[in-house]
Amino acid sequence: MQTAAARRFGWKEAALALLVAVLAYQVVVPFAMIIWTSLKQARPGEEDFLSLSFTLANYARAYGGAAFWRISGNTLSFALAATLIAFVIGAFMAFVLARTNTPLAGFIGAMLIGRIVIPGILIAISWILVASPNIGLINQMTLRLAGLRNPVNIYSFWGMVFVQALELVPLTYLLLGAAFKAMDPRLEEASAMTGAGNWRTLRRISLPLALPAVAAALLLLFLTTIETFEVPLLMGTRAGIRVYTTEIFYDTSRTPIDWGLSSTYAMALLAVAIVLLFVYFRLIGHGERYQTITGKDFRPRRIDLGPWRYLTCALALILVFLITGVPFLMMLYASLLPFYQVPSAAAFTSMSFDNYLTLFHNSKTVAPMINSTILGPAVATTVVLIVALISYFVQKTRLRGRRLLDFLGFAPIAIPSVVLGATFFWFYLIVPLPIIGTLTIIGLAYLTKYMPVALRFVSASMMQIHAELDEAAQVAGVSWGRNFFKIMLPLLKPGLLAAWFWVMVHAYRELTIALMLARSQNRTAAVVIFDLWEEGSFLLLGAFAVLMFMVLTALCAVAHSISARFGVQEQPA
Amino acid sequence: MIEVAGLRKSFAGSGQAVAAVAGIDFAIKAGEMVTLLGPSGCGKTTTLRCLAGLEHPDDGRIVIGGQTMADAAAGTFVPPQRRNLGMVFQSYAIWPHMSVLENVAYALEGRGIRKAERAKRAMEALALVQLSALAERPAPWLSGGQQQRVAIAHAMVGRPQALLFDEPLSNLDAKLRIEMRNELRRIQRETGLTAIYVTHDQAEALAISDEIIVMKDGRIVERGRPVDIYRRPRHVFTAEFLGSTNLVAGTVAGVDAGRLAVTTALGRILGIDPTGTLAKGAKVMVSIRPEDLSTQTSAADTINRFEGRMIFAAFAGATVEAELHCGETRIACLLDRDADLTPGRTATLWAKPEACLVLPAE
Amino acid sequence: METPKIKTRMKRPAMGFLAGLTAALCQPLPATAQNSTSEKAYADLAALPAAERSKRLEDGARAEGKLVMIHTMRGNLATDHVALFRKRYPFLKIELEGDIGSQDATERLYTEETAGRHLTDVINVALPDLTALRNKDMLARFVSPAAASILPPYQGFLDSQGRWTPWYWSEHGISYNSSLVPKDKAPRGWDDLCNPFFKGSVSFDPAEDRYLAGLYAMFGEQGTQRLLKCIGENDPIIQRGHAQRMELMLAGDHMVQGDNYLYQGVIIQRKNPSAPYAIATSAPAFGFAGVAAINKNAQHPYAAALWADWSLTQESQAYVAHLLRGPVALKHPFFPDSMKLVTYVDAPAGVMDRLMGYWNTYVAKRH
Repeated sequence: MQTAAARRFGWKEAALALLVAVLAYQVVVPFAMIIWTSLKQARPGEEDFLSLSFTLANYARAYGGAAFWRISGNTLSFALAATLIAFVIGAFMAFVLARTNTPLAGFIGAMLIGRIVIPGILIAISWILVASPNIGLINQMTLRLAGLRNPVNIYSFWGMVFVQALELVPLTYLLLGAAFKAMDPRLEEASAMTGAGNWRTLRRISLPLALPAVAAALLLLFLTTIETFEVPLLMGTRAGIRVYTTEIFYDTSRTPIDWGLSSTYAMALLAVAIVLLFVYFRLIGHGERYQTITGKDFRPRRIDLGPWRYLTCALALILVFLITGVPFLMMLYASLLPFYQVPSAAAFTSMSFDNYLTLFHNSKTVAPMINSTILGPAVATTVVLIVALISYFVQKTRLRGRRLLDFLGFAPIAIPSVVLGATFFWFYLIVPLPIIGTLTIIGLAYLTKYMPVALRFVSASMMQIHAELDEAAQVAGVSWGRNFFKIMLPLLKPGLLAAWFWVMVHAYRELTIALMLARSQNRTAAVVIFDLWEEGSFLLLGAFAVLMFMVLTALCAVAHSISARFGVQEQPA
Repeated sequence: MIEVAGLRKSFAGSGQAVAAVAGIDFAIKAGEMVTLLGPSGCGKTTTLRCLAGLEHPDDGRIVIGGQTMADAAAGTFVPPQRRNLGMVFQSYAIWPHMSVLENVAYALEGRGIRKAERAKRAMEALALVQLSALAERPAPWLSGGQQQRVAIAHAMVGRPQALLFDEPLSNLDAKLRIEMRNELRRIQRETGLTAIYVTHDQAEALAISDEIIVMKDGRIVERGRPVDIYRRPRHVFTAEFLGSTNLVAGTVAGVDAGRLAVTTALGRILGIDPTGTLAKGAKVMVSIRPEDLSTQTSAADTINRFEGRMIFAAFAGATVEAELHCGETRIACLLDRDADLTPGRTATLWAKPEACLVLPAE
Repeated sequence: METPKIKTRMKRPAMGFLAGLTAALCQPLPATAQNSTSEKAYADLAALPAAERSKRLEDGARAEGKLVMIHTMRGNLATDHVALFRKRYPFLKIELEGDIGSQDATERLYTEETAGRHLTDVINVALPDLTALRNKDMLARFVSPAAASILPPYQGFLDSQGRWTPWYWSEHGISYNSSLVPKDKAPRGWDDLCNPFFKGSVSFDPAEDRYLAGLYAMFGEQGTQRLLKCIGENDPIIQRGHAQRMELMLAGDHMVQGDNYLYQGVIIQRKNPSAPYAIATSAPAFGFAGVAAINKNAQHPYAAALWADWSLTQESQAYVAHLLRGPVALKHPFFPDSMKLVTYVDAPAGVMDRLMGYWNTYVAKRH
């Protein structure tokens, strides 16, 4: 007979130990470095950096002036407006596509997710080409048709909000769609029996039941917008609207970079994230209330909208056209031109595939594509497994300090990419692990970067799984590890899949970190994009993005068809 | 077979720890079906979860089949998967991503059993619950009763040393519930498995158990065979919780040949003392079950006669549920269906002294 | 060859990362070595006659076998350039570390060296971005004999101490959309950026040192301050990305480029002769050098020197001209002879900070 002590250390304990080690290494260490740096005037590596004398000078500089509070106002109102709009549109799309018999739901959903694939720089440029003064398509049309001069201006607060909100709809859709799919229709039917209308059922039953996902979505949308860079950079600067990320960018654009100051800015983001996470926890309370996937005839089923389904279909098509169609078409249009022109007969006659030929001629684009194709799925899979473990321990065990795991997994959302990239670079310069210049170092940085978003995805899904489904598996006499892979993971499928797509695509197109850690052997597709944008033009970039769109769509389709074989089956109507 | 000694378990409530199980001891013989019965919050489910290994006891020992599964003092704790138990959950805990057969066969995975053998044993278990025909169906597409059967097959397939039931029938409608509980009893008898059954439904407990353990506030109140515990409860709580009863407060006036005379608001009641502890002057409650009261008195019955006014009567088929006011005291009774039900009518009720249980007041 | 010290450090990861971290943190990190091996080698080289020098250099590089370099040009522009070098010296394995901008390149070398890791041999960057590395004395002194081939207008790019080797130059000038701007309104000087006719229609990138240093070279501190102030009052467009801003202007988005490389428009015009691109030739342009700067602690000093020498060869210079950038040993491919060019290295450190302050106050309105 084994001793009690040996018994206690099984798969579950091993998994927990591994998880704690990963979080300590990937989150605690970088955070310690950032906080330390924010209290220093010396840079990492300099002699004074290791001394135990600290200063609040960076804090005084970052938060002392009136400018900081004006920028905070801009950042928060921009984030709030974009969040609310993205949430309303995203919730509509998620419900209509995941829970009703709206025609073309599959196609529209795929197109929505396709949007994530388009690099942020291109989306901003597309909207500049559509709605900027003078050359924007809309303003060109109003001028020609109605003589109206520049009725819309993308370089404005609402222009930024509009583009950013559309950018966030796919995230909302992924989060809420997963939650809506896992909803027990009988709870809604019960409401319908009481004579409540569809709208009321949605508002009083469906949305509250999806509260974990709703709260997670709002939290993520808000923090993602605060952390977003492309829209503020390409549109905000010209509109004169300054936010945290552009400030950090300006402060880090002169050598030697003032890392103390940028680390200090990260502290403000951390504070916002902590407050919001606390609110989120309060809102969710004890997760048991949201366990809609019970072991008792759980049957996902779609709602029949009758003739209304054509209206929802039309609305969803219009939205998806704005969200994915416009950027994609602009990209396609631009990629066929030798130089950018406002659409005209002359423009169309000048079209050719020259940009694509240039790309194929360029052998340097192939290796980065391969690198990204390895990096994206690898990072996504690792991240998804880690966050599944975190949510399991947080929600399905009574472990002491389990909330801390959740917090650690989420905290990196507060680290701006440029600071995160720098931190990983320093760390591996100082620590003699030979991973500088490899895909591994980028992968490790991405692990930290994408854990927070994935964690909220999976955590919302975990909350919907009834505790007894796990307990039954434990009692069944099967090892904990097997239970985790064969019971928990399949049940988590909607959330895992959504998180996987999200991380994979973002790891594919992420730029800031990749740029900081790129060397000869580990350049990623996004670095190529940046090269093309910096030195070439967005026409070539458009061609590259069209190619990337195809590769990623194929990757997603493969992953989707593999995953369709697992998890809960929808009942045929 | 199963021994529980000094079991304690608290949960962190809002502010302070709340004791769910406050020190209980019991033992169960092999092949017996024992029910833990009590109102919600009495600790019965926590006790069961401690047995299953889903909770770590704060204190006490649990021994199952001769193996110490948990011993807080020694730091022993065997995780649920190594206890070789079968458990049926309130929510059935059917995994919605698997077929019926996969659900049942899952418990056999990772035990070095070949796939064909696993399927064969799962099919045997399904045959036992009469679900062979639905083996390939996705599990969520079954009806409630069928899912219940899957849950039972799933709990039994691993040939566990004991079966644990956590309110398994509470989600079924009344008719199905009766059918399933007979079915459960049949299966348990057929397989000869030791079983612990948790419920708050006294009718279910009475019908299904070899023995009942009544629990309240984290402690055991009493334990006994269903018929004893119903007919001869030793606590007011048990008398009240199992079935319905009329309770009349009083004081013991005298003890005579195993019978007690009790002074009550209804007058002098002659009853028996199942606890055998009461002496003259003790404050007591007299428990008289409604079905033990009758209007058909004969002249020979001079004691335990209570006169009252009919307040309410409801025809219930075989019997009539009626309520009488005897002075200030309301008395519920089940009367013969031929009884005169006119409201306001005066009637005389009568109960045998053997049916009047004199219990210590709590 | 790598020094033994580096080798043992690289073999240690098995010890576990915490042990490594402690060891690394406790190790004193010399920011710069006083007499680096590379500088010693360069001093020896300088003493040799030409033929012997080039033999010693090539033999040394052959023994090193490797060169780790950051090129300031992007993507194919860099790789094609390096390919020419590689063809000439096939024994060198060249690691081209990232396509990052010149500010990022200096930052990276600075960070690596501060951490005591000597990973990069050469960076090719814009000269005004070298300030931080010069201040920390991180650059090796190497005088290339090929510097003699640099044409007189560009001799000013040279450093007396040889801390960099200039091999191309870039020009900031004023350009405009000739279909939006009538001939008589065309900008003629830098003051025209303040012309109310162009209000809200002159575009700039967010400030870079090299741009402000160029204005300083032309107008001095007070002149620059005055210019930035009136630029700020003329409602400037601030948008990131030189190439993209040029495309937007030529598509009709705005009229004038107040801060752009003239070649950006020429590249587009060569592809599309009808592009409405015009250079304000009567306004002076200011030019800064692109240089090869060798790390004082370069692990492959001979290979690094070989690159610096080669960058000034006919072959390399012709490639630069082919890209429409400015070669230093050849005639510029398009720069008009009539146009005035002001060359510069950088502005003094204190001045740079003030200039950035003026920009932030008047143009970016950050304060």
